[in-house]
Amino acid sequence: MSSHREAPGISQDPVADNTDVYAFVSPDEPDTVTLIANWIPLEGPDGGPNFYEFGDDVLYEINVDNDGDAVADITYQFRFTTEVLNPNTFLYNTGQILALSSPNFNRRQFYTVTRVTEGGGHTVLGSGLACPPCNIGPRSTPSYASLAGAAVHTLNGGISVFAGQRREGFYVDLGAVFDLLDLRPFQNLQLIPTPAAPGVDATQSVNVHSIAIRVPKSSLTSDGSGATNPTDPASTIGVWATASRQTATVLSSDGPPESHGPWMQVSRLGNPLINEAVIPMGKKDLWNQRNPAGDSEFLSYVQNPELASLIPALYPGVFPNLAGLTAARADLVAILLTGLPAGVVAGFQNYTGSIIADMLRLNMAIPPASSPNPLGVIGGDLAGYPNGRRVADDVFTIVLRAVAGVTYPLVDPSYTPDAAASVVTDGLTPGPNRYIGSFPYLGVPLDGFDVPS
Amino acid sequence: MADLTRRRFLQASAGVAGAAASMTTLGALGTGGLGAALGLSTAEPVEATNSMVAYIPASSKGEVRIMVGERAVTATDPELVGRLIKAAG
Repeated sequence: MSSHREAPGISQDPVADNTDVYAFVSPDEPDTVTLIANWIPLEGPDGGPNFYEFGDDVLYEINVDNDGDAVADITYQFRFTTEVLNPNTFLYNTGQILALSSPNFNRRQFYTVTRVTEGGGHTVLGSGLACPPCNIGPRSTPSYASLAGAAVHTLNGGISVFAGQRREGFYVDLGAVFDLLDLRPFQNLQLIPTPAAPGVDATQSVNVHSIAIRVPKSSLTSDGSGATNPTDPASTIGVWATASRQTATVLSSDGPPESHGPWMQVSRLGNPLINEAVIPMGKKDLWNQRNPAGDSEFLSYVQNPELASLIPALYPGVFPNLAGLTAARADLVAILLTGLPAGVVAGFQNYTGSIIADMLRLNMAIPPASSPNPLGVIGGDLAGYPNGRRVADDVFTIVLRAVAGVTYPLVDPSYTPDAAASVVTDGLTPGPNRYIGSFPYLGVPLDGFDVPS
Repeated sequence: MADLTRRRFLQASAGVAGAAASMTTLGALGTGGLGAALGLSTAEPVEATNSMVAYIPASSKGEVRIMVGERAVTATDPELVGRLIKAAG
């Protein structure tokens, strides 16, 4: 998936498992940028009685680099605290939850958001901020959309923030892809062929936990400008999220676990699918512990991705040009690790310099598209991935086509991509209600009564 | 061991043998079984506000890493490490 359960270590720690990161100019407030990091993969909507929640013992961070050194200049830190009103019941809610302050909302979370700058400045932007409950069902949470809407908090400085359950936004045909890279619409051409069939959206019935923050562009740029010039390097930021746990945890029969020591990063995510499908098994946990500034360590896996060899092997005769492409994939390095320099795609750049680093690079001066194309830049829509990432961008197909060679002519015009490279896909479009038009943009989570897992 | 006092080592030793059990004073340790086992003498009790964990990643290096709050300090004290190992049986 994008980054769900993508590494052996973090797959055992879902509360700290960062599944997706989004960064885009807010379509309804184009002077702002929305940053979203999702956690806890594949939440079954009916997962009670202990419904999903953030970890009180996890440090969640959304990082922003605004000067191209792949070191966070601005970090938004989120820390959660769980409160239980009545520990003498097994119930998550003891009646209907019609408001965040409802006494029936038995197990609730609050959080603090802090803005940390590279120079060491700490500014608490908000504390005691309420999360909504999970969407349980029509008896427990009958007016869920408005209930969750009350958990969108407005902070000083033109900032909005939300933390809580949302509907999964990433869509992919998981069952097929992990079955030897089967793509149902093209599986008649697969090494082990079966009749072609429509794709199956494996994530359409699950939820996720989102941390979303919308901030003015001017609060993210290195010069305080409003990022209005697409050719200005200062208009581009690099974004990634991390989760950290304290170094030592001690279990005790006398009380809850105790955490001690410095924070140790256990999850990292910038671009989708890198740790999922590019980094090899033996390096995935290490990759999660590393910071973007050290990603030259992993450069060879992007230059020579295993997936680029698998595609022609699993679809024999369909990708002959890709099979013959042995040069280092400078196109993928640009897309994933440096940004695209000016002059490669007309009217666009999101280059942050020569430092090799996995960051989601957003040129904030590119205005939101009036008719977004989920294929983003390769679909002619400069406001979409890999210029940041919007919630509905079809990142699986974009990355698949890029790896299949469709972007290689950007660095070598003499290369002709295989005809299949520009059409290959898992064949999905997101269904209705997957997203909403306003902050936090990910849709209302599915309830457990109507959508049992 | 620039920022690590002998008393903090005592706290650390409690972390090793007692899995970071919450402590109120080090004096109790000094006069208790663990302190005696370690051959330590602590005449004055010291208030400890946090439990902590001591970790010896490689005893041959004589290093002990002590984690308290959100920080950690590493000290090199082969003698102490040796006593801790002995106490751990």
